[in-house]
Amino acid sequence: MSIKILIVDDEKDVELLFRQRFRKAIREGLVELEFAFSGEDALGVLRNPDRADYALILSDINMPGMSGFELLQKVKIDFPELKVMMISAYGDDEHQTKAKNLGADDFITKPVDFKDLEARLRLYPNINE
Amino acid sequence: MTGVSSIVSLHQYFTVKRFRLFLLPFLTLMTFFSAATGQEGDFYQFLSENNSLNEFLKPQLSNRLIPFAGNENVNKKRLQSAVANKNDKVIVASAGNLGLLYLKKEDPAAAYNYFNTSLEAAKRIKSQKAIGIALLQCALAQQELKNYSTAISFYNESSTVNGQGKLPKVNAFILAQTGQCHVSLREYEKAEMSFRRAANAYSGLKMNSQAAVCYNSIGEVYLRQNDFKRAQENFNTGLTIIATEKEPKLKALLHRNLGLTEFKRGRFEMALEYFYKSLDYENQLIIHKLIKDSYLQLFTYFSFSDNFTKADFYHEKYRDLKDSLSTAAKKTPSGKIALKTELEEKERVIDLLQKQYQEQSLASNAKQLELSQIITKTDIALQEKDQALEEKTAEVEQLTREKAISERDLALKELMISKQKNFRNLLIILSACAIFFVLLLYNRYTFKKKSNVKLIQSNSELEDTLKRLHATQDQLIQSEKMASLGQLTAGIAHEIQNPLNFVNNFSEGALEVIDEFTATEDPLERKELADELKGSLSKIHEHGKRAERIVKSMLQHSRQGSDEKEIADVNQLLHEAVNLAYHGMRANHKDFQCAIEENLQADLPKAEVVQQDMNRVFLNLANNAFYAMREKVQKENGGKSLLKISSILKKDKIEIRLRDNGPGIPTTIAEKIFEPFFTTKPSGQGTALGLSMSFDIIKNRHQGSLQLDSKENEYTEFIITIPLKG
Repeated sequence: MSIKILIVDDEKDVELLFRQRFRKAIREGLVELEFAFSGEDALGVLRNPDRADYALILSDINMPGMSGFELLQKVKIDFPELKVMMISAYGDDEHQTKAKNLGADDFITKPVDFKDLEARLRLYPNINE
Repeated sequence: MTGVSSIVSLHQYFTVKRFRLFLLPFLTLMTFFSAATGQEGDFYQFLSENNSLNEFLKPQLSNRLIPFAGNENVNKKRLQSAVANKNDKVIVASAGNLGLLYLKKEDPAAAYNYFNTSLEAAKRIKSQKAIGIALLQCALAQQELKNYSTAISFYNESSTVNGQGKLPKVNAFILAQTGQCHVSLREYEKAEMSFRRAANAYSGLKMNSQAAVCYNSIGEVYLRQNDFKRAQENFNTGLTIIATEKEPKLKALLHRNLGLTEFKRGRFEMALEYFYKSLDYENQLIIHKLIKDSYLQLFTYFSFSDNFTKADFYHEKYRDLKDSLSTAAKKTPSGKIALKTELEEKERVIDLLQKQYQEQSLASNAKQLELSQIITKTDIALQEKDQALEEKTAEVEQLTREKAISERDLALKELMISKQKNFRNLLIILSACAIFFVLLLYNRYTFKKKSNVKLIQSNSELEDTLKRLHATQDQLIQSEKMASLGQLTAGIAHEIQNPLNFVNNFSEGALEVIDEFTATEDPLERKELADELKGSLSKIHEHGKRAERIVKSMLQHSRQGSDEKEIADVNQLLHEAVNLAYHGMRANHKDFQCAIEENLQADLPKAEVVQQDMNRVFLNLANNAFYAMREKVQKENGGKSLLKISSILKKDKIEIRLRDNGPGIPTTIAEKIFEPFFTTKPSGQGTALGLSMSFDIIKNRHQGSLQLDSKENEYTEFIITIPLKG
């Protein structure tokens, strides 16, 4: 069974990168990736009832318009069961603490260590086959 | 006024003497008449009607306040025969007349002897009126002799003899004179009391001008004691009393004294106002000199308080007035009388300012020192003039004595004396002019010397300051760079993480792809993997380049750098600078969010610019925009920040706009924002050089323009125009 992950980042190349690095998992049907390029986009995708089966959101923090933190707040209100993992170039305590306080389930820093990311993803119950 | 008193009121006794020659027959008749009736009627009537203001104003009762008393020789003969005949009535009259004549001749000692003779005779005939007059005359002579205490007792006695409630005008006059004596004795309280009583008496008699003179004297008493408020009150009372009267001389005097009060208080600008007013009423040389001194004071004052515009203004006025005064002095040499009057006025002014002068020896205040110098100078001038006068007088006296022995004929003698007087006057005028001129020259020379030294001094000071200023400016420009660099470093570090994320991960992915490639033999799969590898590598390259640019722009910013213009993509410079500024801002203020709307003309030609300079301008403007927008959001506790950047080609120029929706720039400071060191940021935040440097870069290095458009609480837009070819 595969899990659906929504990745939110304003940099388009993120899609290419994630698809490449998760190529195997995608091919094996373990993961399904969706991309949104802003916080607003992400909320639109989540609110679409046809595609409301995401298990996890990976979101950048620094984005023009709605920031990752704002998105996190809204998601935790509208979709409390959804896991949210924040990704940021700002790895300092302040950012981490703020993310935690707003209800983030995890926090990783850029550059992304994909091996570490995979390991963390495996901790989520429905990723472990 | 009667015919006699109006002649006498021509206060220039010199002129009176000439008149006497013409009027001799008529006057002899008058004397005969006066001998028949006694002198009392004349004298009191004279006092009542003709205590002329000019005489009042002098510190001492002048010898000019004297009714016409007849011919000296005739009176002497009459006195001789009256003594022989023991005719006391005639003794009273002729001795009185002779006393007045000697008083007029400035021989108060001889005058006093005659008055005393008159007094004794009056006592013998027991005429109260004659005794009163003789006492008053003795008082006048004693006052002239500067025996003020004696004079006061005579005045008191005369007033007692006259009786209370009688002869009110005469008694008011006596009170005023008593006041003058007290002033001379520096008995200010008594003086004030006498003047006040005289003022009340005159007010009761509706003699407003005389009352005003008394108030003026009261004011002067207070001014001497540095009680400026009371002095001012009394001068103003005097002015109020004569508001509807035509008394230009008196009004001029009261205004002058108001001016002196301010002058003594050190309020020179106000003093000037009063002096100007005084001049409106009467054009007096002394006022011009006071105005000149005020200018000098103001020049000194403003020089010390570094207000050079005002200092220059007053210095120029001072110089002009001084020049015009010295030309005026050259053109119209003042006569002996005028000179003497002026001298007396000067003495008076100095006397009024005296207390301050005495206090100056203790004070270290530069302003007061200056005043002391002026007063000392004036003192010296006065002394020298006095000395010159004395010398001349002695000389003439010597001549007179010699002549008296050799001359027999009376008419001839009179004629000779008149000639001598003319000669004496001429000498005095000439010497006074010479002294005055030399003093002016010397004064001018020392002033010029002083101001030259000052000029050289301030010149070298200015040069030093300029040097220091240049050094400081260089330092500031460097620190502006470092400050904005420090602010940006954090932004750059994070900005680099993004391309690094791609470089690291695409390269790692590429390695995996290669592994897969070697593991498979399937050509189709191999083709797919090769494509993927190619894609990854191009992404690595792209993001590697991106990181390079970021680092480059940081280096460019910090480098002192070349000023060479290069062909550059302004769109890219703008985009990167704005991003860098945004991340710099975010690094410091993590909660700050801003949307950036780019509207850059895609086919914008490259332009010839100094890259690092343009970069600095964009960074600066973007930084300011973010800072302002963040402030607004914080202040209003909400709202969305939006920065719009655009570029467009207009003919051969590129127009770039940065528009934020921050608090806007009030029109009041819009003009100042490009000035160096102007800032609205709290101190310590920024170097206050950003905008002035940006302005310099666009305008002077790129021949472009940097303009501001803003609406308070809505937006701020900076519009940059630069030519394509530098």
